[in-house]
Amino acid sequence: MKNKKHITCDITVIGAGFAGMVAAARASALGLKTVQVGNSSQLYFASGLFDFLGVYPLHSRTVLQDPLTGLSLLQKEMPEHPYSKTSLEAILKSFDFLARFLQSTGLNYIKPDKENRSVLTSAGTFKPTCMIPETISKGCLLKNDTNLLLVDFKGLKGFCAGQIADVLKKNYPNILTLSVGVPGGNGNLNPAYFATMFEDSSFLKEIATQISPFSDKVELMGMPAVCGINKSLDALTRLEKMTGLDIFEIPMMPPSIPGLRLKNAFEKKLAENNVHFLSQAKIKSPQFNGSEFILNAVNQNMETQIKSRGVILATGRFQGSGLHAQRGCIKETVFDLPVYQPDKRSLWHHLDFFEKQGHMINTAGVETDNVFRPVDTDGTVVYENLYAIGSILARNDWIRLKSGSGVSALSAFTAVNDFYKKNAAGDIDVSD
Amino acid sequence: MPKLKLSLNLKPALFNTIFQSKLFCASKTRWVIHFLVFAGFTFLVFFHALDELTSFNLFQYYQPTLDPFQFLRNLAGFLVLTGCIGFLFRRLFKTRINRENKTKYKEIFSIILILLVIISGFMLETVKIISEPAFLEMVEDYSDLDEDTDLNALMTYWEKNYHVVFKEMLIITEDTLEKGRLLNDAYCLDCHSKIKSAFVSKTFAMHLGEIANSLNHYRADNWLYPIHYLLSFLMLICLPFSRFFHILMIPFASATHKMTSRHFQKETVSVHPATFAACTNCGICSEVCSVYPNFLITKNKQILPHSKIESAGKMIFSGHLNPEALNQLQLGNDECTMCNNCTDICPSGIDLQGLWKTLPQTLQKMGYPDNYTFVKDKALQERGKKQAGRTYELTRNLAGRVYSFENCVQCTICTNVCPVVAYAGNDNDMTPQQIMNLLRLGEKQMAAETRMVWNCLTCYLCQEHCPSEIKVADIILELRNISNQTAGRLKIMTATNKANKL
Amino acid sequence: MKLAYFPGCKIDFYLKDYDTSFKSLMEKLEVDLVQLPFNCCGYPARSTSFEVSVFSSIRNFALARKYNLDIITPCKCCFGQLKYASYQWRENKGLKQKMDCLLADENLFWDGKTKVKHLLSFLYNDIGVLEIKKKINHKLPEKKIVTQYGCHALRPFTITGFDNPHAPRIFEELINITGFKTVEWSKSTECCGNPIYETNKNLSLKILDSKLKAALESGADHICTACTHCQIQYNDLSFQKQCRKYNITPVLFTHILDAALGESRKNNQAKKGCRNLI
Repeated sequence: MKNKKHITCDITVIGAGFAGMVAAARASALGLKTVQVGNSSQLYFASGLFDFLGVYPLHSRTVLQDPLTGLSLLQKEMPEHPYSKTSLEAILKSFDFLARFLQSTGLNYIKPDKENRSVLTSAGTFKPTCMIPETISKGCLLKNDTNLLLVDFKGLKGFCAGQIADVLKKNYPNILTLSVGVPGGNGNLNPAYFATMFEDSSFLKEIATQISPFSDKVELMGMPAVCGINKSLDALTRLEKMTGLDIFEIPMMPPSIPGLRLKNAFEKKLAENNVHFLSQAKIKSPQFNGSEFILNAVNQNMETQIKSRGVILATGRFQGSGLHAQRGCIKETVFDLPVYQPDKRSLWHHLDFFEKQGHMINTAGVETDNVFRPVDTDGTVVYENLYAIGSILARNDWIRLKSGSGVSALSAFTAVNDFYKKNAAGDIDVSD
Repeated sequence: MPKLKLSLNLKPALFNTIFQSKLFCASKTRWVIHFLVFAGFTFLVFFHALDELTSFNLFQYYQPTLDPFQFLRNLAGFLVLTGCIGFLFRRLFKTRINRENKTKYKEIFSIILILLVIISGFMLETVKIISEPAFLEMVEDYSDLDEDTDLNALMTYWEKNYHVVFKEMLIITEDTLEKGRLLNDAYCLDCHSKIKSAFVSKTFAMHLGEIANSLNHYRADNWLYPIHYLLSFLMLICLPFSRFFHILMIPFASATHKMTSRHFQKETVSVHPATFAACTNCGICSEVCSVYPNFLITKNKQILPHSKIESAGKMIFSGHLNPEALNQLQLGNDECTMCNNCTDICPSGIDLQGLWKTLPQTLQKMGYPDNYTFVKDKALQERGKKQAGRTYELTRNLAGRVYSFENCVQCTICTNVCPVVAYAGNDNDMTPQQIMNLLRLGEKQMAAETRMVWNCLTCYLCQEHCPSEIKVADIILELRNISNQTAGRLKIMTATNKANKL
Repeated sequence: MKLAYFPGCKIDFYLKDYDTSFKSLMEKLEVDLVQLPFNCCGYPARSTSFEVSVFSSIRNFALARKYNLDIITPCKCCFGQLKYASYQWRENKGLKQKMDCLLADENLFWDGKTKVKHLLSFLYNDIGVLEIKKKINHKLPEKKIVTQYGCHALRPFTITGFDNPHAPRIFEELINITGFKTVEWSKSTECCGNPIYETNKNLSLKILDSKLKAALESGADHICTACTHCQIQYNDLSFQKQCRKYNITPVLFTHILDAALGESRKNNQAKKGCRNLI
């Protein structure tokens, strides 16, 4: 017999990825008693950049400069897409809430602009995105004739200034590169550990002395996104002061530091907001007794029975194990909800890996009504207070559309607001 | 050889030597038994065996046959006798934590030796009480009785009151007794107190019956003398070679300044030379040992302090330990948690924990380093070749089952959060994620013998952060168990090879 | 309330202060501590044998069960190990059978009902922050504290269930009611380095030094621990020297709370520890 525990709460968020975190943030900000179940380590894979809509239509294969035009087109052509269930205003509001929430933890994001921002990546390519951390923002100032210094660090794998410069040199001829030796480094640096070193002032000084000779030659400097974890902006500003350069970070391959910052920020603030977090627990045999959900959150040693009026399902797709691909069909793992999916397994993937329209399986997921409550095949709401948010939503090929964060934030925000309006708010305005 | 150090701390030494205060705290029954023997024997040694030096000089009218000496001698003997019987009883009928028969017999030998000395003493006294020849010799020497009637009267009186056994039947009348009493007052009373104070020997004498005459005939009082002396000398000779030695060593051991955590931090731990000889192998330390349950499962006797100190003594002073035993000693000593329970309770006042702290150095010199050092010193390839180790069948066997690590996507999060990877630099070889990869390649044994396995802080950051929820730290700990066994076998192998070459 | 006090091996020899202040604290909170002949929790044996480590813990549980008491320990490591063992004992049938046989040899048994509490989780869950706050009669000066959570209580969360493993709050809340103020630092949940102090001292101290650096950056006056092993690690001589240089002191949580609950009349040593803080 495992140790038993009982919790009663207003709302349970299943999943601790990006969407789950936003939902928990919103719920706790509204004063709902919130329980969160899941594994927050998925956020290590987050880039830390919040995409809105990067590519549309899919077959165009070009980057959207103006997401708004893309959005109106998408809403017209794909009425079932999560973005089509709501208005632009709601999307902007959700981003706004997210920015304010993160700012309160000391992680500053630049709010969305009319146009997509293109962010330089460690591969030397540009990624269209919407909301970015302040530490990365100066990279958007990059113009074709900018005198740019790209810095990498000896021993830090997965980031090579020379390689980026090489990719960029056609359009950006004025790029200098520098390999900085790391004091106390042993030739093999892990990003997470390396990032903590930037929070030490003496270390910053030593780095700065190696960079300062370039102060006069260049205007802008790019470095891998490892400048501090908990006080990244502070560390970057200090480094800017020491070198006299404008500096921006270039996001790297996962596990990424901007993702880690996001993870820490959410975790810290949610804990402060008294969100009860059951790390690495799994929901077994959920029940609905007419007014409440009864969920059993099981981990190795404990079985926590959660009684909750609302449930937000943010379990993600296959990687997050929200969906499970069986031989014949795809199943939703917690409530066994109906899953929108191709009719046959043979239709899951296209024969051509680089098919322009993408693969059908990437649009599989849970279908919902306009406030993101899962619906049956005939369109009726399954449970009054059950919401599905984030990448588990159907008809959203978020990797190709570059719409992951936007859909997650929007659906989380809308779902929690709706629950709050119906169950707790009375006549309080929940618009912000 | 551990660093030896002499030091003196008088108060506990005196307390523990004279009153056995620590034994008193440890076990009241044992203290009672031990103190009976100790007090009785000490008295006998000082005021009886060495009376020429002590009693005769201290007390003007001292005679062994005078009260209170006669009574006290009997009392002391009686105490020792009771104590010894208690000792024997406990040795024979009370099973104690894992004691080897050898030590048990050694102890029984010592106790029986004491018993023999005491019994021979009592026998000697008994036969002297009943001895007619001795009586007559004394009369000859110390009186000027001429008349047979006088002698007869005295004999009657002595037969009645001092239990001398005479060959001929004596006719006892009131008159002769009264006369005998007067003669006794005149000649004997100065040197002979009433016989009832020699309560043990008197009882023996009264119950001898028929044998008494033959004993007198063969002059038992004469030949029991050398026996009693010889036994006493035998005991003296055995003193340094038997359990008796602790008598001399405990004062020294108790006088040591015990090591404190300060010494441990400064790494200035030393061992007192008296340590090994002061140990009586009583096993009390093992009863309070924090890691006693470890012994119940591994059955490695070298976990228990009382066995450990014996082996350590053998190893240091005579080197008579085979590789297997040395390895066991290293393993056993490795289990010690430095809780100080053994030092606290040791009735001999030995600083056991100080010894445990210094042992690893000695063992390392002999080729039995702790496993971290061992793994660090060996080349990876060399160990990779060796046979796979036996695992405990009751573990979860995570490292051996594919499902426990197959979900690893090599995302390097575990490596990123690992403090060992971050700070160890060249002290470390593999990272947690690489270990998972080795397991996926089926190289369990190689994974078990990486430095990472022994560097691991067991802080569980990796396990808590793994997005695939792999039990990384649990697997590493399991590999450490495997590595532990392999390392042990390798150490034995190396030592045996070396010995064979020599 | 009556609880079995599980001191752990090291406390008596290395950290008597913790022992005395813990007892004094419990006395003020009207908790009766019962001392049982406990053995090692089994954590050190995890390096060598899984079975040994579990059996050591289970034997302690069985001892406590005999007197029908729950266990309280001031050591995070012991807490973690006892939790871990109870989990393994429950999950692994073969193991359970073997343990039961060995216990029966000593006339003991365990049915899994004994609970183990760490000092902090006990104060937080069983007594309650508000309840303690009421008893505080000596507000401490506003000093900056960083907390050292201690790995084995916090992780693996799925076994110990101590607090949110990524953003724990218990410790902070308990300190903040005393008047001291906790400040944030990046190393709160990281290891102190003690587990490998004996074998790889160099690395162990490097890890410890990183803590000092982070504490300096956060501007803390004290690093607060609630674990025997962590505090022993912070007591390392070379580290203490550095601490003095930067004017940071590692301090035991029991000293802080003990001081906040007012002067101890009986216990001189605890008194001394309190005075240093006020």
